[in-house]
Amino acid sequence: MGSKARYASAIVAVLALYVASCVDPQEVADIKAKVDEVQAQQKDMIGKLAGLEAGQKKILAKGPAAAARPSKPKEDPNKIYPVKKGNSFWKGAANPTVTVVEFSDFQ
Amino acid sequence: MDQIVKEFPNDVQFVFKNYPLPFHKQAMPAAKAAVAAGNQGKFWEMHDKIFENYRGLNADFYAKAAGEIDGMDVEKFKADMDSPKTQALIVEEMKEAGAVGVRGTPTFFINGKKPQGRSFEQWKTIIAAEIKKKG
Repeated sequence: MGSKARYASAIVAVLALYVASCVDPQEVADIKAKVDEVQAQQKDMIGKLAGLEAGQKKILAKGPAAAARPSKPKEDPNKIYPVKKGNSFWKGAANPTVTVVEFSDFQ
Repeated sequence: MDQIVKEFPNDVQFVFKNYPLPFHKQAMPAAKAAVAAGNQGKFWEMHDKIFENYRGLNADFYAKAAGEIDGMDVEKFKADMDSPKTQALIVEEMKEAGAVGVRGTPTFFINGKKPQGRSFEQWKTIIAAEIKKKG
């Protein structure tokens, strides 16, 4: 075998190896990048789900009423508020035993 | 409310305090109009006119409504609507509202207590009990 032929067969062998090992290196790299991306998204979603779950547990721990109406403080119906006639306009009895005060807007 | 005042003419005083909500564009001008009319002893006449027309309120409405009220000096009414004194009373009333935790309108107090329920019969019962307590 001449050196030329040996050289040629070596090139063929290298090419064969190259084709066999990585069909299209660019494609493989793309796929790998995609998989990495999906994995990262999945990790993000799992993290968010865990947060949601924790929040839900917290709400449920406060009882079913808290879950339905999260922020309505109970008001004491017998509490007496210091509302006075002041300079406001009024009608009815001048020396009342009962004063009804309305806070309102016109629209 | 007229019904309540008529039912207990010697016992019940009804006080109106303005609490114009900021997202109601005509709430503040309407409050000023009622106060300006009140300066001429015609608060309730204007109050009723505004409520009857609450859907059609606009800047031109108030002077027109004032002109329809017997004995109203419309020029004085217009001046009073823009006066700082009118504004001051409304601001004072809004501060009072804030001090007692008023958040929405209308909010009522009967001798300082928030009534449970809104019907005439419910109020009659509450008021009769208050009168009995004081008498």
